[in-house]
Amino acid sequence: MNFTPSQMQLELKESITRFIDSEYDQVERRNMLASAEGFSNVHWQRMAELGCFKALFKATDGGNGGTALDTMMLMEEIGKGLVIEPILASQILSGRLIVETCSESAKAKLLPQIISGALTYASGLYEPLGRYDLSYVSTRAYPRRTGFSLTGRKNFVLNGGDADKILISARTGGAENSKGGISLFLLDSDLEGLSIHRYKNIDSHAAAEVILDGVFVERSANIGELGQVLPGIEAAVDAATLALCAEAIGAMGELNRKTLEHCKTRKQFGVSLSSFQSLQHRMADMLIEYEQAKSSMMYAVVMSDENHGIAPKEISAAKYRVGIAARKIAQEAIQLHGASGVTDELDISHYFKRLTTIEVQFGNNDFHLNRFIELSREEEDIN
Amino acid sequence: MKINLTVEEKAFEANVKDFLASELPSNIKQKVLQGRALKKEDHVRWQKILYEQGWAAIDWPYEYGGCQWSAIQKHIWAAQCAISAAPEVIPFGLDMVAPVIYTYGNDAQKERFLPDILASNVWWCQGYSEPEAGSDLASLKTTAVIDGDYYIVTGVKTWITYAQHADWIFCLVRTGSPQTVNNDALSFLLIPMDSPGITVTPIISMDGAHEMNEVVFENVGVPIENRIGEEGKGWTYSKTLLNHERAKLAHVAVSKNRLQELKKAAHDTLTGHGSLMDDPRFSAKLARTEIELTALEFTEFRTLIAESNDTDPGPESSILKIVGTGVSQSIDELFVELAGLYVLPFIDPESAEKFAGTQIIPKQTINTARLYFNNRKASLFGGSSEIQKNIICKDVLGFDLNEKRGEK
Repeated sequence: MNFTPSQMQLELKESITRFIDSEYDQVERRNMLASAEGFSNVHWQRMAELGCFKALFKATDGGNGGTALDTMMLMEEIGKGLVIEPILASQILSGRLIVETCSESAKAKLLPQIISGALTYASGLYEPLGRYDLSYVSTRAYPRRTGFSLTGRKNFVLNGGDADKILISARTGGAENSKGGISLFLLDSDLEGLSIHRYKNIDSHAAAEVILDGVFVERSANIGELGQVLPGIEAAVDAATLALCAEAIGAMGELNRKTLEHCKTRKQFGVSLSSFQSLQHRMADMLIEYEQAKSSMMYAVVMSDENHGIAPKEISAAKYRVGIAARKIAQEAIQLHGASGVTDELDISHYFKRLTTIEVQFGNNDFHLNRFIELSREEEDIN
Repeated sequence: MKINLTVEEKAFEANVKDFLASELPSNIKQKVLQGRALKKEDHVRWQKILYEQGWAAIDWPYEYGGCQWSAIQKHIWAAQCAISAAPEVIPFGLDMVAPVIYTYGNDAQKERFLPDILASNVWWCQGYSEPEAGSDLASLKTTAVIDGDYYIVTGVKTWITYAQHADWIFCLVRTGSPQTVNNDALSFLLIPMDSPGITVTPIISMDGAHEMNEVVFENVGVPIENRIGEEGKGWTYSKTLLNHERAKLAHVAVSKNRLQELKKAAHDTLTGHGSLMDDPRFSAKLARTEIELTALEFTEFRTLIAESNDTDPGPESSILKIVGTGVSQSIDELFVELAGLYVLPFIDPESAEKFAGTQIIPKQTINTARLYFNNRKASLFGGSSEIQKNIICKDVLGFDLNEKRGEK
């Protein structure tokens, strides 16, 4: 079991920390949120230059990292800095979808533009009636003489309104919620019949509802094996879920640090808040939550790296444990900051909103607890 | 909680139902049902309807316009208001400053202020907290120095809800010499918001709403006759007021109604394995919340009975505040869990149907995130949960909170 970062990983971590400290302060972030784009292309290019995106892919795929540990090291810093650029939706979720499902030649064609940051991607995998079920796909891809015609609706598509390319899961066979018959299509965002409705999420990240009304695509737009991509989708979503856990850990660590600092400096009743034992214990509980969540996340990272990227049970355990800690720490951070904690002005509320989002994304606590139980049962049946 | 009503109480209930059915304006009702923010005009319109009916101030003494209702009647009223989606009365005038005025004010002040509060002709806000005096209210620094027939008020008040709408603000200010740092130097002043020297600055909260404000007083002249009761007794007066405020902050009837809506929504939410109600994990959480809420309802009922026997709400109102906020925040969280991914889009509720004529978020979850965010303040305002526990420790359990541990 190895979770000691390499020299290269430590150097990347250091440079991204420096980037966030010097070029990504809260004032800069607020200006971006208020802008029409919602994030900054300058920052995006800087992150590419620093090697953030390269670290997310294996050498054979054109990167220099590609392990769960690489992703974790990066995403913890992203979480600390409340980074708004679509690295999760584009480089991690969509990048991993391509890695998991595409042929070597397709990968060689698509990945370089992701790794260089030249294009951003989005992936539409969820549907209005499916809740968190990735196998619920009612969007249909009908075969045509030279390609496919796509009709259906995808929602909660992160970065969907801004992406150059969109990956869509659509059914080429099987009933609405059967595991077989799901295929993956790569779409340009300006196709006829494709309407993309952009909006902002509660954490200010942009997302979109994507409606496909007889969108025609060439046969080459089908990437991955026809009707067989659900396992690849699940692996990519698991990887993104684990990345999100690491981001949450970064955010929680920062909230704990800020809360402790506030309690040490804020004076009431003639003394600092941190002199009250009841509040000391609250902060001790916040630290315990953080450490337990971090351990769950790290264990899933190690298991994922030891099992060729596949660790669904450990990832569900991590997402659940992180979700529990995220809610507790976010709420306590506000409570201990008092009324200033609920203002927009203080970034405490921004961390709160990001953690609320993370708790829900790719399945909430109950979903992952149920999935953990199911996967444990399957494991017992095998043994 | 089910109560067996007498024939008279049943008749009263029918009367209340009729009144709400015929008098509650439908656009206001719709806003409440959808969890949308009400405008000042909406609140005033509804409170004036209550005033015409004689039900604006059900807790006031009869002689000033109160209702002389029994605890059961008050319970029926609150329950029916919640079921009918009537807006809650804005508390600053009717529930907060009025009890101080009719309890400690002189006759001239009662005559001057109470009728306009009762009729919702004037809008009040509360000036207690300061940047350096949050939970530790007694350390507030805003000063009021006598100059002829006036106090000259200088200082900063913060977290003032609806100050932007208010005609008047009731404040705790430091009279006595600046050296006096105890509670005996605080006085209770009523100040018109249009006085020269007052500046109101909005504070935007995390749900994007403008409810809170900072109010700066720069040499504001306030007639001495605007002081309630004696100089230096403001702290005592306001403590009584805070007890009233806390008891109201349990929001039992509203939580009960929201829990019913939550259940309905859980039946309507499909998970792929039936409805969310069939999920044992979710339904257990619902059940736990319901049990807690029923117990809270009975705790509140016990307090109402005690109050109707002319006992002031004492420290037990702190229990109501702590548990009431806890339950209402649990309901917020269950709505978040129910909404699933639909909690994420931050869509203006006024334009929720803009996407190709279809609803992007189901109606039942359109305001879930906003309510969850907005209601985090419930455990902070009106005395934080930590302060409520201090009150219980001091006034009920008899702890000496200033006792020092032995030095090692």
